[in-house]
Amino acid sequence: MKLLLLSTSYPPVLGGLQTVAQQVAQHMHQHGHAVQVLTMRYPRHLPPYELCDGIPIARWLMLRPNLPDLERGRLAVWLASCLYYGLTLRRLAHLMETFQPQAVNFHFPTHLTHFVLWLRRRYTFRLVVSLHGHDVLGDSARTAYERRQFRQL
Amino acid sequence: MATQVGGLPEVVEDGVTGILVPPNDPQALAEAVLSLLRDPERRRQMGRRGREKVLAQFTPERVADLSEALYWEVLHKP
Repeated sequence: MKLLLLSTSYPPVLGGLQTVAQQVAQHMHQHGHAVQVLTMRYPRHLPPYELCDGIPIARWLMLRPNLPDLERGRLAVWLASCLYYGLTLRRLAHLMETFQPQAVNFHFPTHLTHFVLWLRRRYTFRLVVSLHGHDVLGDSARTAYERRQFRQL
Repeated sequence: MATQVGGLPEVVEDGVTGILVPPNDPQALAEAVLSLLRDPERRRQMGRRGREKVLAQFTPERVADLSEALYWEVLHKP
């Protein structure tokens, strides 16, 4: 099986989400499946690509233009998001076309939901969404757009 | 001890593997702490049951096995 494990965060960042995502990735790799991990590049000093225990980890700055940033006067963030948005979509398309995952396991669906929905419109794969707690409980902190996207998953 | 939020009640079964208290209720939390402090046998019993439950249901191997089974299930769905 080819599995794309898309997680908002991943080790060496510490936490429950990160630990579970890594354990699942390692288990699948040990069972002979092809696993690709894609996560946010945070903190920024982490390498954009690395191989951990035989599992390729890609860390990208996955940003999308967010109107509230502009409303709060965060022009630099908004401009950077515009730049990285197109780049992220191109990278995602490349990843999907080269790796061709049969299943995508999306952990902690928060702001990356937009990209997963974009992938679903363009590519054929089975989606498994893993909820970890605050991704559900934090619903009130989301914008109306994000809440709508969450329900579309 | 845990608050009744999110997935915590899945792990902490009130009165069996621990004590659940309502969120934002420091009084209830304090009472739960005191009740356990006063009853060492109950503490040990809850601790033992909690460990058994975690080993039976929440080990990394079991979570990963269940994840793999779920991937296969969705892949074989028409």
